[in-house]
Amino acid sequence: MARELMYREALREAIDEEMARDPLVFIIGEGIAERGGSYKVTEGLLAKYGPKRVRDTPIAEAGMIGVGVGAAIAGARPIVEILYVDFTMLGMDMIVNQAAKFRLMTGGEGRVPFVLRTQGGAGGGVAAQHSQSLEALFYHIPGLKVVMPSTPADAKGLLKHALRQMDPVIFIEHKHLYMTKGMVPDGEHVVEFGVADIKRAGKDVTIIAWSNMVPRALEAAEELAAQGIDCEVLDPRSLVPLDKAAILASVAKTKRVVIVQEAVRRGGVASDIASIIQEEAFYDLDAPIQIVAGLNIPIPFNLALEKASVPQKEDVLAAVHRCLHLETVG
Amino acid sequence: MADAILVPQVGQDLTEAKIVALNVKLGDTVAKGDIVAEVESEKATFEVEAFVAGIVISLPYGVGDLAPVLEPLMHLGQAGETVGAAAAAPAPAPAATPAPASVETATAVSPPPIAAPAVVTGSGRSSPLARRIAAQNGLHLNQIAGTGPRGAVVMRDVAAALQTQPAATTAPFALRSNTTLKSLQAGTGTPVVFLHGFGAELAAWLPLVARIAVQNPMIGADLAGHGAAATRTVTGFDALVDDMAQRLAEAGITSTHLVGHSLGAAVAVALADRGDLDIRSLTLIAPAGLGPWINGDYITGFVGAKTEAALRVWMQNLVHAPDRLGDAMVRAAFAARAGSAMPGALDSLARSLFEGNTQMFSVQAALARLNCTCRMIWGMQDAIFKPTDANALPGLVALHRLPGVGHLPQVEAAGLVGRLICETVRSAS
Amino acid sequence: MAAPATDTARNAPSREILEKIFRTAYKIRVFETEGIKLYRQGLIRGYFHPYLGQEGIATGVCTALEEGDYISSTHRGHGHCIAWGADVKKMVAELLQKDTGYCKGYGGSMHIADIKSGNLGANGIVGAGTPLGVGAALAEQVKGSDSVTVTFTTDGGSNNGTFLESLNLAAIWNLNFILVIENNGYAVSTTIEESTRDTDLYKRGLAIGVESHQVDGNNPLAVYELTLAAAKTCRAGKGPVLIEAKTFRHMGHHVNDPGKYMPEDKLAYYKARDPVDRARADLVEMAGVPAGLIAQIEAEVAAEFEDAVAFSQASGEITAAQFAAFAADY
Repeated sequence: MARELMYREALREAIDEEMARDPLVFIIGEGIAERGGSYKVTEGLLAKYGPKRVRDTPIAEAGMIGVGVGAAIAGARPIVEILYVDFTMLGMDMIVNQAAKFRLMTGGEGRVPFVLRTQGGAGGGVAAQHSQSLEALFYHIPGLKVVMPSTPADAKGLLKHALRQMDPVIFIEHKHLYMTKGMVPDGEHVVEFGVADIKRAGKDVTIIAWSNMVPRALEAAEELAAQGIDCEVLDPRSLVPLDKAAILASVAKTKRVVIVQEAVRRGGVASDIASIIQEEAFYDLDAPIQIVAGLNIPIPFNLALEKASVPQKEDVLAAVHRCLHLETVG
Repeated sequence: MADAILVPQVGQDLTEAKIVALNVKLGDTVAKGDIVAEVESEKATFEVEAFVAGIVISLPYGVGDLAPVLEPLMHLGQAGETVGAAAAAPAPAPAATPAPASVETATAVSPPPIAAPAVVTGSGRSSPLARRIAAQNGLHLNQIAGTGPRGAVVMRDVAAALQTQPAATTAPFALRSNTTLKSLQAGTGTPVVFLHGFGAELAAWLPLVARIAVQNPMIGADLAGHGAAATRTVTGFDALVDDMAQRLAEAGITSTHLVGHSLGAAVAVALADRGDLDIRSLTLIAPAGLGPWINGDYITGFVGAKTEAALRVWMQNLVHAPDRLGDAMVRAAFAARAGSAMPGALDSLARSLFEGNTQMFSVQAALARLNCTCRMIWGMQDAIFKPTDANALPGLVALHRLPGVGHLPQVEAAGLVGRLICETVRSAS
Repeated sequence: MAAPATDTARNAPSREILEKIFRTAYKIRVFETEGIKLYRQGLIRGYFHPYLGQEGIATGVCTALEEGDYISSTHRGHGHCIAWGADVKKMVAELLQKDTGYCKGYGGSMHIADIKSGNLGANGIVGAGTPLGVGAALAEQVKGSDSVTVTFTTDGGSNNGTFLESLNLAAIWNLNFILVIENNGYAVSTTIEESTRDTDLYKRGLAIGVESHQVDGNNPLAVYELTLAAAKTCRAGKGPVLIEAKTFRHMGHHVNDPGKYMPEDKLAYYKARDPVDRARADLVEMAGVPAGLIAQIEAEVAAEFEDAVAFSQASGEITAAQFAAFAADY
């Protein structure tokens, strides 16, 4: 059985269940205790688990992230909530030089079961320093797991898995998804990393998308279905590890691929996925791989410009038409 | 056993240090812990301490010299001892690249066999999938109208073509056999004809054929005076080429890829130059006719050998590493002569082709006129010709120089040669 | 919240403690001196930052800690490891890139760690150990343990932003955390006077309400006694504590830095107050041990190092296959 939950409720359920299960799980962040977090993800946890395990912090991202990494090295299971993925830049030394490398530097002995929860993405005019999609930076660093759920069920299942595995996880939520609703299975619901989900099965074109681009891709797929084009929407869910096998299987079926990312085009995850596909499935391709991505530009404040900076449904439609060698519809 | 005192490591990436003081001389007795020298890096002076006791038995550097870091600065030993070969060698310093594990080794996978059918590349554009499916079904893309971007042939075009026309005929090539030509492996498409070198015969190609992953028919040819054609005596290079051209015509071969070795390679170039055959590609292995010099002793010794043992001695010249000359090769070469007209034919052919150390024919000019895909493969340790003969090639010819290989790359580096032939044939299909 | 610690009357330390302090300080001295020789012979590659002249600090601090406590260290970390009780064999093996080293040759001089024993590791990023140490202290507080975490940092590290961020977090959460600033007067070659206006670094703790002290780092016994008191303060729930230990290097920043910028008179001053000599004199004078015992300890320490070199040279290195498996799982 399943219930309908909001994305943020599903995240809260995951944290709540894992805190109840494992006394080593605790969470720190700005305004997460009494206030319950900017997006209400941690609402009620302070009352339930007390100030030792649910702590507000000063605005000190490098310190918070570093303290989280240190606690994980010492065997606890910290969740550090960073309000915006833009702010993780302040703690990059702790993420890149400490958390990601620790296992290697210790010859495999030291593990860092550290979960950094944050959110990204554009929308609503929060401007250049609160709107970025920065997953490629983390994707590039060996040793980090990068997870970007698109639905309430995935958000819950992936966060629960994050709190049970042994490596640093960059868990990037999307500010536009917190209020979205979806069915979440009852009972224990854990989603392992590295398992893609087919959000919509289809035979003509594979659309690979993650985070907030999944609902956008699904919207486009419905419109294309009306034109007789049957799209498959594949959500990798975790970018590291990446479910290469599922991607290649889908490409072998449809022969055409569109990759949609909200992040800027240059040096993005989409480019790397495209490179994997051309390397391993070249002779399956009937059209060049299409990448739909953000412009190579910081996100402007003006709402029209903001919209023009990140992929829209129309961009996805056009890309699908291109890879079917059809005239584009405008 | 002498101990080396090394020029100390005084920087992360410093390769030489300057000797600014030597506190000992040859014959001095040194105690463990003595400061025996001072060396200077770009930053500072460092003392060199003796880590063992002993008498200074070698002291190759003087004050002011630059000495390589981590090489012996001096050796300490017993009275009367000299620095043996072992001790004189650089101390077993860590490898320059300290990584314990080679990434290449760790992740290298053996190259996948080249097994895909010949890919047809028409003049137009096409998608990878369309190319693959068309090739699998024997369709030529340039016969299919493309409806993709800028006229590219895409999958739907191939699918339509497959529906409207029966699968292209891919009947095996029918060889009209004669005494010169023999099928080495059946197949479809343009045949690949193999021309052996002086003194060999077509059967010598069999081990290599197994390594060439193409679907084309592969055909061996015996040059006049060799193998099954031993009784057909010809004189001079042009006659040898004419003979082969006739045999190919008899066999119904009008379009072909040629692979030649040594003398056979020169024949292949000359055949291509005649213009009456559609030569799709040439793979030339250690070709004759490029330079003037040939190892005349070898020709004389090889032709004149009367016993298997003598033949073996001369055939050793063909390979760089002696163990690459298998017993079976020598035995087969010797057996081919027994009771055949070959020795006499070889002798007369050799007289008409070579004079002492001189090749009396050249294909240089023909090579310059060449207008088809051409690859040349040379062993850099070839002892029959001079590998430097390949120094001035026309730009169209691709050259592969193989270090540690002699006159028989197809035996000494069979995997690579097989792959190169395969790539040549496929690229020129 | 005291200013520079004065020699308060305490019970004289036991002979056992005095012997441990001398043995430890001497062991560090031998490790560094002999290690430099191995470096000169090309057996050790890469970076090597000797702790010569600073032995009194690691020795005094670690002797005062208990099982279950944690330390995190600096790029100049050999002394901390040894004082923490590390196996010299595994340390030498690590420096010689062997698979029997603490990190199997993956880490090297700047990354030796031993999580199981509570050594969270040295660090190649100056100042980065501080948030990690605070994190370990936080983990222990969440677990409900009364263990203490000591982070060694440097005068250089105290100018990094994470110094304030993480010490402040330790302060607001009353963590069992001792921050030891080894003030050797140089950040690589830049003097403390060039780096800060007030060179009394303990005052930085006072400014954010942290009990802070200054101590002569070349007096191992004084460091020991101050750390003992600081640990007691922490375990009473009144942490964190900051200790600034004044000292001076006996040579440049690393093994190939001649340290020409270090004034000769200052160097002579500190060499005349050598911490190893001080520990030896304390053992002789306060515990009355005969010269024979001193010689025996020194011989034992020297033999231990020689054994460690022999052990390391007989050890192997990580194989290509082992590395491939490790890399595939990273």
